[in-house]
Amino acid sequence: MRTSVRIALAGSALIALAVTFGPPLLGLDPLEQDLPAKLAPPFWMEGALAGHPLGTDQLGRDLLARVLAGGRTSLLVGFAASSLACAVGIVVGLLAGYLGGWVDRLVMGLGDLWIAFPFLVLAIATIGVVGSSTPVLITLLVLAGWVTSARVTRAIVKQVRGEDYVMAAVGAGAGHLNVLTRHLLPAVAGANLVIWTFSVGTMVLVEGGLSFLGLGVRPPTPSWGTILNDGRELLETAWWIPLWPGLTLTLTVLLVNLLGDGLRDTLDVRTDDHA
Amino acid sequence: MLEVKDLVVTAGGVRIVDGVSFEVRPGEVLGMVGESGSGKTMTMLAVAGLLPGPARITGGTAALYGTELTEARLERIRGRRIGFVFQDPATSLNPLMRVGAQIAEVLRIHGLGRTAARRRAVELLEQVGIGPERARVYPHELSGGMRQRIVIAMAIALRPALLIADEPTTALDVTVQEQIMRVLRAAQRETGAATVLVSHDLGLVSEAAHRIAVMYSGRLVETGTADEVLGAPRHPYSAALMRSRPRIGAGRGPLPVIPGHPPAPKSRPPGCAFHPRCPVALARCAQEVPPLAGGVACWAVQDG
Amino acid sequence: MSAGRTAPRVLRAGAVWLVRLVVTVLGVLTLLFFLLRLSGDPAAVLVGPGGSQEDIDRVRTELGLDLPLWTQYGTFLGDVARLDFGVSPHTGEPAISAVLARLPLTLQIVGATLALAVLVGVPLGMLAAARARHASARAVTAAASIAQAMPNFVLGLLLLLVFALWLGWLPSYGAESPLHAVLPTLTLAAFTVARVVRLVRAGLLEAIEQDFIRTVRAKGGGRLRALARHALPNAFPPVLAFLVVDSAYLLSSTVIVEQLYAYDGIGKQLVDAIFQRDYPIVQATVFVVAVLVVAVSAIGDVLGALVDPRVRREAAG
Repeated sequence: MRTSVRIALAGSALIALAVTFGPPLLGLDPLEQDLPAKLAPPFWMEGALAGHPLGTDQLGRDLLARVLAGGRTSLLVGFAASSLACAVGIVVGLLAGYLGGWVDRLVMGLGDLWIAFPFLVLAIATIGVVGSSTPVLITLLVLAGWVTSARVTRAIVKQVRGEDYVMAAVGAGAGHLNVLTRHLLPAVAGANLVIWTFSVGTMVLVEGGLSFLGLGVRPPTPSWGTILNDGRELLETAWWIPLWPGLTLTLTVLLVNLLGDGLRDTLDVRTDDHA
Repeated sequence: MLEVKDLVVTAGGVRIVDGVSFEVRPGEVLGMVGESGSGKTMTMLAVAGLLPGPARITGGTAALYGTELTEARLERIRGRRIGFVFQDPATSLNPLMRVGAQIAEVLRIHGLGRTAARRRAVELLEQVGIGPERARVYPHELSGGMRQRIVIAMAIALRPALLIADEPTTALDVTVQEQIMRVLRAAQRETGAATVLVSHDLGLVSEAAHRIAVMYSGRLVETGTADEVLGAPRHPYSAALMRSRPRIGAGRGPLPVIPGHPPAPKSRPPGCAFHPRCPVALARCAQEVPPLAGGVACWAVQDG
Repeated sequence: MSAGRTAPRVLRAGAVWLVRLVVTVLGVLTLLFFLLRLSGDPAAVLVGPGGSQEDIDRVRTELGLDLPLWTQYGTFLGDVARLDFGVSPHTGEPAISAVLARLPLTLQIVGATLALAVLVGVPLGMLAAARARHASARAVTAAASIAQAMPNFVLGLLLLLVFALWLGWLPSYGAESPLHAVLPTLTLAAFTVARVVRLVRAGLLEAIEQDFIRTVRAKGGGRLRALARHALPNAFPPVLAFLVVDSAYLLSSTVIVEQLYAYDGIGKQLVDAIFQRDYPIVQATVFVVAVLVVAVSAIGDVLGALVDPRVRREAAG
């Protein structure tokens, strides 16, 4: 494994651990308001407060606590959405590739439409109608994200279906379900692991964007996007509020992309649909 | 007149061409033969300064009409004084450029005006037997043989003093190999270029070459006129090579094969690289590299 | 190559695109229609929490919401065919005109982004490939990685803070002058330029290994000619494919970027419309964006065929 991949793996693990176990271990509460301590700057600036190393927001909430708890929300949404999207994509791709015919054509046609559409516009329109909540958010992210995995899965199945070991299994009387789960699923696992990795980054970004617009995770639950949104109006006076979630968000996506690149090279899989 | 002296090419710490010397006179065709991996292509790429990434010239010189072919000089004269025909015409043309423009490009690079270059490109097309209307097509619209004619047209466009053809027919159908060789030989006669024909195909070389150089594991093992080398090869490797080629009237039965495999340059044995496979090897052959003397590099011939 | 064969080809390609346009736009609008109708009572939403049952019923009859769903869908399709998305309840203006009036501002920043991608991204990618082991190339590649990872709303806040609020070099909010478009464009362009740099670099490094580059060198062509004249066009198709897909993404991103800079394009209009429950504007925006996306895709196909003669032939069948 290359050094960059090791760093990416260690870094991502560190972030995941910090946001999961940080708040309870440090005894931090992201919702506790301390109005006298509001808008405290981070530790290196004059006027910093002892208990708030990263500063506080306009309600005196501790930013370290909020960034950690917000990261948990963002990463949970990211993990859940990309896992579900990959699961849907794998099932659809397996079926399309294995069954062929009109199922295949329908799925591919739908995928073409899907990939060409500016998803965020549709998501915003939908949220405007049905209102925002975490389940709606995850549903929309899954709707947007299943196509990549479905296409790549289908392409690999088409390619593998004719190979000897699959033909042998069919010839030996293996049932459809058996062929799909025992032979085809393992063949698409590698590519989907890579897609899943990249997709976590994308999902965290989209969640951030929607929450930033006030259309994602509902306040007071913090996510990196909502903290950035909080910081927007106070940008000039309290620029450190958006600084922290901005930094962690960028770093997370950077590490996840590095990890995805590394995995792709290590597993030697292609993740475009000409596979 | 091309003179190559003690040329050494190194890739990854291994000498893939190990001290090769030879000459080609104007109007002469030198056939350079040997199995794949013998270093014949690398030798000629080195002469033209076209070695791929990791390979470097680490010794020796090449001179064209007395002027040494340094990297700086090659940058100026490649395409004008040296023409190169590559092995695979399917990949040696830019797929996104019309073939006429690709021929004209070599003329433009060396100073011809746009109109003159275009006119000359059409002449060249006709010279290699392609109708002028094909100047506006793209490589993918042409057959392999047609593409190779385009490559030849580019190589002879400025009447080079040195023409190098690296396995020019290997990637083509047997039926068009003959035609391409005719085009190549006509071009060679017309330009009077000193020509090196690199090939593993002895039949092809025997028809086209005046002189022959045999390479084995990065070294030259025998040179001589075509008649000498083909008719009475002196090096045991050349002799084995000649015996292994199919011939009409040689009767039925399996062709004799040379036992063993040619060594990769990095596992080249000490002494003569051929000695482990040689039927007449002497004790000395395993210790000292025989020099090329009197046209042959073999202790058994020189001592015996 | 004769005109006699070219004309039917163009017609056929045109017909394919027309079908694609209709299918895409209809598909998206249908999805939106049913989401709107199934997710609650639009009449109640329109009237607001303070409205009486009579108000709701009146609005429902006015908008034809008391009719069966399929009848409503039929009416909706008819309206779409006449580009009639209704009237914005806030401004009283036809929704489609309101969206088209704001469209130029959005096209301005999206167009500028695509221009930057080509004018800045391609040369930087060439630099990164030509001097692959040089420090400057490494710096470009590293910067591209970071720009690719930084979300536009984070970059936007950063640029806003530094260049508008701290340094005061550029205006912060609004869309009154061309200068107002600078920060939104830079924010939007960072990801796109970064991707193009990486794609050009990777494409060139692959192309430069090909035999025909050696042929150019054998003809006496210098490294620059080999790179710019021969390797670059061969590295271009993936860049073009990316830019086509990215255009849809850019149109999406304008929603965030325009909101951030209070830049009055269709993105900001959409978000405002959502918060004001101005559904005609929402539908008209989705329609316009869908048309734009299909149009960009068609332009991409034409450009692709211009660059690569092999595609031209395939497209002709």
